[in-house]
Amino acid sequence: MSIRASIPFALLLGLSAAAAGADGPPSAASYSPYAGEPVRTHVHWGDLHLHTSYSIDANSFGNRLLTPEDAYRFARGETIQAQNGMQVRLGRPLDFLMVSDHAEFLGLMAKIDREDPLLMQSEILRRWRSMRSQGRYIEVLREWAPYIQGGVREQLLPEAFSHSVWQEYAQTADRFNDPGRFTTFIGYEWTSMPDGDNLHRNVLFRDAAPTATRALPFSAVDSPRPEDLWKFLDDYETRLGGHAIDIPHNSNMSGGLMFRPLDSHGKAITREYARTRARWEPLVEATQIKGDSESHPFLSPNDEFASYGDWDWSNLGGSKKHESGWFAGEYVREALKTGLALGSRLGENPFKFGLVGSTDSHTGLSTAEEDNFWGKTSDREPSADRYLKTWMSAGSGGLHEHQLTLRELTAGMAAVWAPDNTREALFEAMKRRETYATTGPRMVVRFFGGWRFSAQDAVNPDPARIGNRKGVPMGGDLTQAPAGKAPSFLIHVARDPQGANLDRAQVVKGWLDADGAVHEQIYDVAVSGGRAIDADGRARTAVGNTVDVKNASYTNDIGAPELAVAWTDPDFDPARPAFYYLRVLEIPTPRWPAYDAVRFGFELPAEVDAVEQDRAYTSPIWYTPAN
Amino acid sequence: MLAPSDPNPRAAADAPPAAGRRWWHEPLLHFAVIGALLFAVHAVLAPAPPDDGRTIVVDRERLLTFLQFRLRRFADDDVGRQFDALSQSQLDALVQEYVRDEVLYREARLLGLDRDDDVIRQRLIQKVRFINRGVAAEAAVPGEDDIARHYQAHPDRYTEPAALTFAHIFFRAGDTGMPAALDRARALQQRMGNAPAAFDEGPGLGERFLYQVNYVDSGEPLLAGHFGADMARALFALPVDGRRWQGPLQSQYGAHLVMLVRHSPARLIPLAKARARVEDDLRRERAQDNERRLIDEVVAGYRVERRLAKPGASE
Repeated sequence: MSIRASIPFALLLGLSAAAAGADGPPSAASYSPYAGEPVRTHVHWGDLHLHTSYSIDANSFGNRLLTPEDAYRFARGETIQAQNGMQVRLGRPLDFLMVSDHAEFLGLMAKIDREDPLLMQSEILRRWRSMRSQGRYIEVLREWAPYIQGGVREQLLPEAFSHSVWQEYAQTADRFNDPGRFTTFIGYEWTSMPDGDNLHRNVLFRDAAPTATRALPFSAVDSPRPEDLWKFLDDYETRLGGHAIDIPHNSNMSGGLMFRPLDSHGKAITREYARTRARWEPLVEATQIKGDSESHPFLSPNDEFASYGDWDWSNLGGSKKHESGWFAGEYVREALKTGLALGSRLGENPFKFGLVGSTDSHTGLSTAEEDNFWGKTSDREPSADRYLKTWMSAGSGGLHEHQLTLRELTAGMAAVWAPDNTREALFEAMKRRETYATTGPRMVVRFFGGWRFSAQDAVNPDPARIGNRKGVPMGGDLTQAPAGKAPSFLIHVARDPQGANLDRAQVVKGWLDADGAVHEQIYDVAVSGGRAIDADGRARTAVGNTVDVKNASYTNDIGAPELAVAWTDPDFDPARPAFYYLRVLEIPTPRWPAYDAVRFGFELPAEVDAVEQDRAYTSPIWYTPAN
Repeated sequence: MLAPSDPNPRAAADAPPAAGRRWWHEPLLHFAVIGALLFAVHAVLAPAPPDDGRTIVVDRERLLTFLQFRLRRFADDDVGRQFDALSQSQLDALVQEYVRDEVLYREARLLGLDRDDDVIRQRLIQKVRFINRGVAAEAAVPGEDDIARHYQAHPDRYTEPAALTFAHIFFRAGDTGMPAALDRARALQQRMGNAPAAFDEGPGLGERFLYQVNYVDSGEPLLAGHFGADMARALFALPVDGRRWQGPLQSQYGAHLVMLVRHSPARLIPLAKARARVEDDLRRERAQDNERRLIDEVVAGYRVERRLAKPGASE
């Protein structure tokens, strides 16, 4: 998968996601045939959210053996022995991986059983050690909870220990970073969850270990407030000379906090807050094993695909039952809409983020493959009865106790359009939001916005070049609408080369009206099989279903390998801010429990969801009226 | 129960916390640990408790631990205070409970009940594997010669796979069918004649392909995914020629004219460049070998009686 841009025309200076009225290529004639040519980007596949035995919860849930090293080896395609003793290997290796173990007592559990003398000086740690030796792992986990839920602000670990683990952890990432072939990012998860409401964010460094380790990981014990995390990142860039971003996830279990228009003190967001947040959070992880946060039927009752991987019974801690008032602060589409309103009022949009998916697997094994799914935690590695278990070990989960492992999604993937597979190139692409999320499959999605895309462009043999020349890619901005013009979008989607055909491509539009209210509308812009798109922009006929649950198989007899279209917004008002993103649906395919039933030879109860439609979500393209 | 729960007091005394050399780095200690492991594994597998098994010692520490698990509270001070505040009759009742639990536990082990319980079995196995792995990894540091030997022994692992750099002009089979697509491709070839389009202009003369217009240093897995295994094989068989659109080749999607500008054959990465990776791999392999050997040694201490209808391979 190495794509080094050694062909001259690909070697262009950073014509990045230029905000644009985007009208016309540069006109002045130049001797250089490459001037004005867009950089050629390729899609790279990875996971920015993975835990190993270095995370307290992963370890307590049974991952005692798999280290970051195992995780990197597995992700780049090697065969690994899983916790349950089976050999495991990915169908296709990843292009990049960030091991993001919890910052709170990083590496502690992996070392505590060896009774590192540095650790045994602490009474609490001696007790944890002895509890673990008696098999009381989940109780240790419960004692950890106050440290991330804001109750306890005490640093348990001696600094010498934290330093040595952090060094080792970062250097391991460096060792496996192989520019052009396999990129690793140094990073960790900041695990703040006040009262069980999830505010988790993954910190991602562009830098190598010597820079990244200039500061110890910033943890929820340092502060449970995101504002303090951003201060830390600011200090890291300005004083320590590095580069970093943070990526929130599981907004769906945040108790409505993740995208509310308030800061962590409950005060209205200010312009300064909005600017700061948008700076550090260019991306949101919109889909993962613990549910999908793109949309929810409560918020989007007219979207028949809104219900997918809904984890909506409680907050992450399982301490509070879900309330309908939370939804608006929990789902990405709604947040993008809120962002338009705030942006219009404050002059800065705090929720101007692009989208990625990742697994958040705690097994050390990044598996987003339906037929090769190793579960959320090591005690849910493949077995004949895992689908019947509750998704958290008994005694650990509050309101989760009745939720089945069955609800776990085999999601997701982060797709990044970048010229090279290097830390630098991928990081810059993430900063400019040239990314999309998928729930597992690797469909290739191109989405450009501009003012003059024509039907002809959609049949052009080189849509990427046309797209970049006449517009901006996903994550970009449109402004200064030419008179009488509406935004047009060049869309080209190809199925996963080894996967299922496509059902349809949809543009999801959100906008702010003159009264300050926000709205959304879905347009089916390209559908397979010659189905009709009605005057309201929707195709009401379902694509069909070829899934044979008994054999966990499907065929590509329905759907299309490829969808392409140039689409112009029929309802555009140049005075109103808007965003547009693309959602792509695959034809129905079997879910992981169907593969379990075949491999372990049991009958899947009829009420088990065995079929799903995987999907992709691109980063939006925003339209902002000129003042 | 296992050896490392009793850290070497000498090492703890003379090694300052920040120093790199910790107690488990001591080579002599490895033997002690391995020995203790043998004992530990033996102790786990053998049913008889130590000493005569008929004495139960009750002291404050044991009762405190017992009480903690009873109360599910582990803040020592709290439980300590509660313990000290127990009345005589409460204390007697606690001792009685403790003794009863301990007796039942010992009897259960005497009866071998722990052996039939897979949960207990797996937990103990995991604990031993974890400790083994630590010991095994510490003893696995390779030298320069070892690294060079390992590199020479596994050229397949340190080989850059073959890769192609090419552009293609695509003609869709689609509704018109493959023969028509091939015809369009050949027609273009003829039209270009002796003045073929340049590498980056050619794709623009064809039709839209699903994936990329060109491929830079791309390997077989990617190409097989995008074009199918047959066409990938055909691509690797083409001669390099930067002045010609070869073909047409066929994929499941249509016909392709190909300008192949580079074919990098598979090549061994020089040791100097691969060294870090080789060392990593060797270290890991040795750690795994050590772990296996440790277990084999313990297993060798047992006599296995096969009582099966089928004889073993070596019998």
